Amino acid sequence: MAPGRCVGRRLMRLAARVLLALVACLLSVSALAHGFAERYDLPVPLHLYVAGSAAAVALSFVVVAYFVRGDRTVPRYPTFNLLGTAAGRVLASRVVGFVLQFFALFILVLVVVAGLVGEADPFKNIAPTTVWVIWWVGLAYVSGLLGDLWVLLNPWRAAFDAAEWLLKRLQPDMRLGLNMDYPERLGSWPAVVLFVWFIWAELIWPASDSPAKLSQMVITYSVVTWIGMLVFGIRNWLRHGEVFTVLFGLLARFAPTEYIAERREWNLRPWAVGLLPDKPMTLSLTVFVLLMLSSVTFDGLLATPLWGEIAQWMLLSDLVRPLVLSLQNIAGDAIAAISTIALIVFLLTFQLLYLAFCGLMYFSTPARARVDLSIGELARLFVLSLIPIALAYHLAHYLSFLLIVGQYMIPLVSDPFGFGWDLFGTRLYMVNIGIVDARFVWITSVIAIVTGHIVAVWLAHVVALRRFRDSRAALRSQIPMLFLMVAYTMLSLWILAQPVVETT
Amino acid sequence: MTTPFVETARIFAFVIAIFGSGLSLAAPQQTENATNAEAKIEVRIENRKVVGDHVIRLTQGQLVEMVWTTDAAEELHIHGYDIRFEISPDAPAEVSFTAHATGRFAVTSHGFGDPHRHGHETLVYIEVYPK
Repeated sequence: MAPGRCVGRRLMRLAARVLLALVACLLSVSALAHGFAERYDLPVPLHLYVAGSAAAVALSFVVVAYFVRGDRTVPRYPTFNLLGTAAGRVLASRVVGFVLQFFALFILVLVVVAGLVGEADPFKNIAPTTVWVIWWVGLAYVSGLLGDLWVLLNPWRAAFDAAEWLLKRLQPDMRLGLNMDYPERLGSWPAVVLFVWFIWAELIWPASDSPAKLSQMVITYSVVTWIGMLVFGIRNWLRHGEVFTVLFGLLARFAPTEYIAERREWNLRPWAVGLLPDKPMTLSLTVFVLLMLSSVTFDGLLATPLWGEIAQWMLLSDLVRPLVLSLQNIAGDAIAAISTIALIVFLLTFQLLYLAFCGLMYFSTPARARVDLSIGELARLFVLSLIPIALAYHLAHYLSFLLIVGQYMIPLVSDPFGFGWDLFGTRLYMVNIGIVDARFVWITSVIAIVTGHIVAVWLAHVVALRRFRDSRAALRSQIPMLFLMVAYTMLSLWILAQPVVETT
Repeated sequence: MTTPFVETARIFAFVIAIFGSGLSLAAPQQTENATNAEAKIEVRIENRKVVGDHVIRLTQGQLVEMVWTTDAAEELHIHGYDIRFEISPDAPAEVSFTAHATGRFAVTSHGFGDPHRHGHETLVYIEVYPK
């Protein structure tokens, strides 16, 4: 008995010491909630929070009232072919495309090289700002608000195309890669898996602001992408495995431009009409869209006092602590381990919650009226209507980040490696932190979130009207969705209104 | 027979009632700001921690005079405004600036005299609210 108890006590003491170390670590480390650099945002004040929530409820009512008329005819949207104009033809010309691809490839090489040879300070090296601010936040805005620029820019595609072209000139009868048939059952799951990895790197990875580590990540992703292209062919991999083609492509469905290759059309169109699907999305893309939303919400949650309390609880709970200890080495540190567990739980919960509301939709409409769509089909049919919300979050969370931290590009282009160069004479530029006022950021954020949700409600109604047999059933089916979306608006606004804390 | 419109109106009343009551519970606290043209703020650091409130609230445009006293020498950094200064136990350190930009800015210590300290510990936040 005695030795056993002694070992037990020693273990207890060890556990207590580890626990203390963990808590100390949690309390003292103040890193950043998002990929790199800090945000200076103030919490949204109470009156804007209340006004935003009230507007969301009231405007939802307006949308629903509009559809109550039962008009089921949804006209085809108007378009305007930009290729009919001289400016449009110039922009869509091969020369411009070639210049853009060359530029993107140059940036990719620059980021990798800067990460490997440049200064380790993230503000003196061009890699972190280019990746996390300009490309990740900036390009998401361009995709959602203007159009799918990534299709033209994609440097991995450009490099592969160039290699293919070169091989054709040298060995005309050889083809690059194995060009295996892509297994249909695999869907876009490769992109989903890579996206989860990317989300983790952006939100949790402690080394995400280290230029060298970031560079290694870019190299790893490049290798994975090129292997995918070699094995399954470039088209297949871009469609199913290249995360950013999938991601920016989904955002660009909201955008007011579309390119239809077979008809040689580059059209202006109303915003959001690209989000009205003819048939349900694949399961993997459905999961992907839900990940887009849940990851941004999780990023917001990481800065609230609520997260601080959850993190504390996880450290002290007997249930979670062993998991934290075992994950600690893989994830980097204790905070990263806790956040990783929370991230996985949150992402899964979000998926299940959406499925549950689709279940409610299923049970609130008679089978005949919903044309025998199953719960899963409903989930896959309505998921695209959530894209405007993802875009709205991106705007609300990262606008000031893009405008303030993005300015670091001005000195960095003159001195990309931190070697003290001054290529364009802008090395000494001071970042203007007053470029946007807190009030401007608050109002834009609240308007973006409310608008995003209203567009989502509208899209879901149009989809329901198109697919369901009668308009009454369509209307009823949308009530659970409406609950979900209004609740989600409130959650988003609540996050913005929370006093900012930095636990992770 | 109820029309779809009446039905939705009823459901909406319900939604509004639920979320309305939720609002008042979840609502964040409002902050009070000093509105004088000048603000004089004294901060005392002991054991590498700020004594008292961890958030200093200011209003945009205020001329701020900060007086720092400490029990150990350190180098401090006001982020965003990018002001760096040293504090020491010998004499209070005075820093003054105009709070021209709104936002929430961390004041971190860069661990003077302790090369092993890698992280930048946040001592206090300065929140500048719009006028």
